[in-house]
Amino acid sequence: MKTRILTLFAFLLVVATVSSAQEKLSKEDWQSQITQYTSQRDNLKSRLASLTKDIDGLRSTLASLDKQIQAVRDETLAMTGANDATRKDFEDRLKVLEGRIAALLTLSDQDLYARRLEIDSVQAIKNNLKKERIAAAERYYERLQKIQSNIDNLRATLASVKTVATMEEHYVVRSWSKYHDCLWNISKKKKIYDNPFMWPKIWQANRDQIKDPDIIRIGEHLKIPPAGGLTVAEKRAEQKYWSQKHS
Amino acid sequence: MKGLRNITLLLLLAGSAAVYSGCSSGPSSDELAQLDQLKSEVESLKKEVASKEAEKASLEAQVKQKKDDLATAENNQKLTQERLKSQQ
Repeated sequence: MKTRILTLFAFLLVVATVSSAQEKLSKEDWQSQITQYTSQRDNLKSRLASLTKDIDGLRSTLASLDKQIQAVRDETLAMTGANDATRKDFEDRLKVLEGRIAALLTLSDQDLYARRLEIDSVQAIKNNLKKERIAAAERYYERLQKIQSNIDNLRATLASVKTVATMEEHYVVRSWSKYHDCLWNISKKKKIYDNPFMWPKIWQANRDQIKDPDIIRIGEHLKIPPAGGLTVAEKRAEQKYWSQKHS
Repeated sequence: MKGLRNITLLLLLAGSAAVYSGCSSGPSSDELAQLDQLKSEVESLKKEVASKEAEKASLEAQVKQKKDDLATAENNQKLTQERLKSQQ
């Protein structure tokens, strides 16, 4: 038994020792690896030197391009005869104009209609700015084009508002049963007068069709006079109507 | 007697194994250190090269962009000239 244990121990000792010896690097392997890594290091150093040179060249190209771009831009601006002061002045006026147009763009259709003359005013200012030599420079030319595009948008909006306004100059009577159309209710409509007490205005403007203001017929085309207070004749007609109704 | 023989056998085996592993020719500890240093130098160089390659690629892209900018500026100059002529 003792012999067997000893033999096993000896066997394990030998296996462990031999395997540890196998993990160790031989001199030849070491030399081979040294040669391989040295070659790799030299190649990498050479590549690094080449990359550094390329990078320096690219940096130099970049600096040169920056200078060229600036020179062309300066030359372009010089062609327009602008200096720092005129440039600042022009930019300030552009900003003011852009601000006015931006404000107009935020208005409701009705408010825009009320301030429609301002569109002509900003158009005139833009036209004058465009005549200046500095306006030919690309940076300003593009902004002026944007301004014109916004003015065109304002005009398009205004045109649609005008169409609605024109439509509201006439009103086609619809049924009482469904729409409750009567002079009082028509006058009360937001798109008409937004005020029911203005009904005599519609009545008086349509005396040829309306004999009795309590009776209007489906399909009648009523003229809608411009908004404003009742005229003396309209007030008189209203008083007459009420006195007859109560008598 | 048998025990003595076993012990002798054991010592012989252990001794021969030690001789086999320890006395074979291999690099010295200095040489191994030299190899390790070389390996780490290669690793460091690889990282540096990768970084430089990335930098070069970025600079090439910037140069391309600047060339485009220059072409745009030159084109703008021509357009400005034309507009100035039409203003006159």
